[in-house]
Amino acid sequence: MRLLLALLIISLECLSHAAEEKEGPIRLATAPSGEYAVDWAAPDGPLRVVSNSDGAVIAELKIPESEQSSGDHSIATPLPFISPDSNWVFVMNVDNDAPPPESFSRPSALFRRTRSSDGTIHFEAATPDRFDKAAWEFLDKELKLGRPDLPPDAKRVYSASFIDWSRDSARLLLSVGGGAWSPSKSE
Amino acid sequence: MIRNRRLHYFTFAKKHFAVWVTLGLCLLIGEGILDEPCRLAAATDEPEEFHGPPPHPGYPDPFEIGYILFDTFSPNKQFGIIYPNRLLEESPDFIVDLKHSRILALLETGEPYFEGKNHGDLAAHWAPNSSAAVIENSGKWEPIGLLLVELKDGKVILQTDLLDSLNKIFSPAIAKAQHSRVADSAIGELDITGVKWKTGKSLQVEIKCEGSTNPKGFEEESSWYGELTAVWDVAQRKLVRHQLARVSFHAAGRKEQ
Repeated sequence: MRLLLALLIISLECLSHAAEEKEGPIRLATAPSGEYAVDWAAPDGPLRVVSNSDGAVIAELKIPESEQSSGDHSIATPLPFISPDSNWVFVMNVDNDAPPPESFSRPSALFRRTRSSDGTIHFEAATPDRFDKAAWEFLDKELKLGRPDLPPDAKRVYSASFIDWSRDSARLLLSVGGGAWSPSKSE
Repeated sequence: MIRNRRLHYFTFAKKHFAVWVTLGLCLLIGEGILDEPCRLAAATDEPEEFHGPPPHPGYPDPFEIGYILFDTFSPNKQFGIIYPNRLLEESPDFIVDLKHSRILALLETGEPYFEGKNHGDLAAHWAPNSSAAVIENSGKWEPIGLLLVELKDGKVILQTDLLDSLNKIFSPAIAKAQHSRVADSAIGELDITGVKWKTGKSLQVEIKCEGSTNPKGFEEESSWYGELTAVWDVAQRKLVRHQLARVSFHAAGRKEQ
């Protein structure tokens, strides 16, 4: 009986250890050209561009962190949208469970595929800062949007949601938003 | 690819065969010692995954990242339901063919269920011959939908919301007690307490539920309560029997009648 119980305990231990092992990365999207795919290892990344032919990692795609990011919540699945010519990757994060102000924010980044002289493929960010913030600031400047007086503790939030790529990959249709969140006003 | 969360164990099982053999031996010898792992082992025959149509080229695959396979399948294990996770919470629920990895139909419910929905829940009661299912999409006070889904030759042929038929029984009874118009008399809370399939000459489903008009118990409002047992005949597409029991009425400011 003791032997049986010992065997049972060992087996359960092995089983729980096996269950703790991480699963492989999730294939989020495959480039229309079939050259590469974007994989993500749940639950917190990284987001990787991998070669479809040999699985080699080509690049890591990093969305710049939000200024308000507390980092103590689960990270949502990033959503990559690859342009029809496979030269651009738009990535957005939707984290509805994040605490405010991050729940109002929709961080995004745009990456461009480049090729170095030796033929190596790279992916570089199209904007140095978060794309959603850059998009909003561009609109703010172009459209001369008014800035209301904000409480001193207000933090600006930005979002850029993907709608579609144009067929020629020259245009990216987005829904861009901006606002402010104040802890004192929200109570 | 959508995997049932409970069935993740069985993906591990393939990779850790030796562990499972050892565990299986232990469980065989010590039968009755552990109940839970026995149930896990018994579920290995259940379908493990579902994958919908291919995604738009270059775009994320919603069936890879956004949908969850509900863990109640048809008795023949061919049909199931998938619902979105929080990422796709505005998206619909679907009835799927697990055997052929096909989406059969969108679940015709006003507010689809999604993972972690506030006051929401999903329940599926499949007919023994897998030709129909009553799918309950729960809400805070009453179901958002109580859908009878009928299948034939691997296709969804009809979806009927049974709530309308149940309400048509409750409303006149409430109107009579309250001396109000039928159109103005409706239950405020409805709990489905039982769904039971009956096979015989024709396929029928018996639904037991409790209805009441004043779920918050406001004293200035009248309170009607009743327990309904209704039988729906699938072939006739109508309720063929119903009975209201334990009916009580408490007029506003008056004692119970």
